[in-house]
Amino acid sequence: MRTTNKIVLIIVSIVLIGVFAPVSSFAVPNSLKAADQKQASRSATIRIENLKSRAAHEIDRRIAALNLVITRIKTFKHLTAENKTALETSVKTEISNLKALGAKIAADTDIATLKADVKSIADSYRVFAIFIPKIHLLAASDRMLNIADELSSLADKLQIKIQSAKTSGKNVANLEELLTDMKNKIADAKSLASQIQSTVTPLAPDGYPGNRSTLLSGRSMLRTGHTDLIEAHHDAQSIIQGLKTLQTSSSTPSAH
Amino acid sequence: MLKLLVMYESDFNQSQTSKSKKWSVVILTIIVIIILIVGGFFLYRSANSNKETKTSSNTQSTSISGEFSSDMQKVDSDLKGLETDINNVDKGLNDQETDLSD
Repeated sequence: MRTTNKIVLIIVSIVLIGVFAPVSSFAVPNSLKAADQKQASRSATIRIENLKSRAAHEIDRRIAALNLVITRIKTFKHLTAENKTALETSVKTEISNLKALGAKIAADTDIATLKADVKSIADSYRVFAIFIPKIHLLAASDRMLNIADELSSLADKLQIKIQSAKTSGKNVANLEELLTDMKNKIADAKSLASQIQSTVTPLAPDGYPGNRSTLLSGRSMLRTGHTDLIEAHHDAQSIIQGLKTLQTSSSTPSAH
Repeated sequence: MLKLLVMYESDFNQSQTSKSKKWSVVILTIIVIIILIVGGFFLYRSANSNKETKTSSNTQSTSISGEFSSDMQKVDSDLKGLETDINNVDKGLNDQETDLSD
């Protein structure tokens, strides 16, 4: 008897659900549902357009920065021709890839794909995180080597003048000390610039963020090298002043 | 007659002595003038020589500065360029990638 009651109860429940379910579906009018769908679709379209516009702006910004970098690479004097060409090619490839990504993003219709593509602008290319700082470091180290060469040539000329003054019996001990310091500072700056080039050149976007420490270390070496060159320049100024003083004192007639 | 002859001879001797004195004065004056001219010339030369030495010393000092001025200016200008490069490196490293996840 009990089992029969249960079965009846289940049947009644099913019947009741069958009766009321369609009624409940009529509770929300069709027109309202359609409006909601339309609104959702409009939001999605706006979101897609915003993402695409933002992506286009970011890609343009990176391409502009990379084009400037190509111009700078062409002025490098101390990077080997092979490394220079490799660097320039890698930047050009980066630009082509970014353009291709830009075209893909413009054609994207699926929001999930679009989001992934937009995210890859930063994640896959690391233009601002690796590429640009790397080229700036290489540019700075190249200039450091240029200055070191100029100062070396100046040191050689000053050495001849000091030697000449020494031969004519002048006391040039202080000038010789300054010249030694100047040469040491130049050598240190050269060594640091070469270290920057050898450690920074191989850095690639996929090594980020692990390779950021190499960039920071490069910047630290750059600052030390810059200080070395400024001090070498000051040494040269002091030597020139010293030589002038020696000449003036030797040609002034002594009072009797 | 003899007396007259003696008187004539005495006058002649006096005239000779006076002439000789005059010549001595003239020669002495010429010598003094020559000494003055030569002395003046040497003094002038010595003064000029000091002037030349001073000018030469100034020229040498100027030439030392001049000889190295272009080298020093080039280094100075490149050091300023290097400062710009370092600023670019700083800016590049401080620029974080824009978060484009959404």
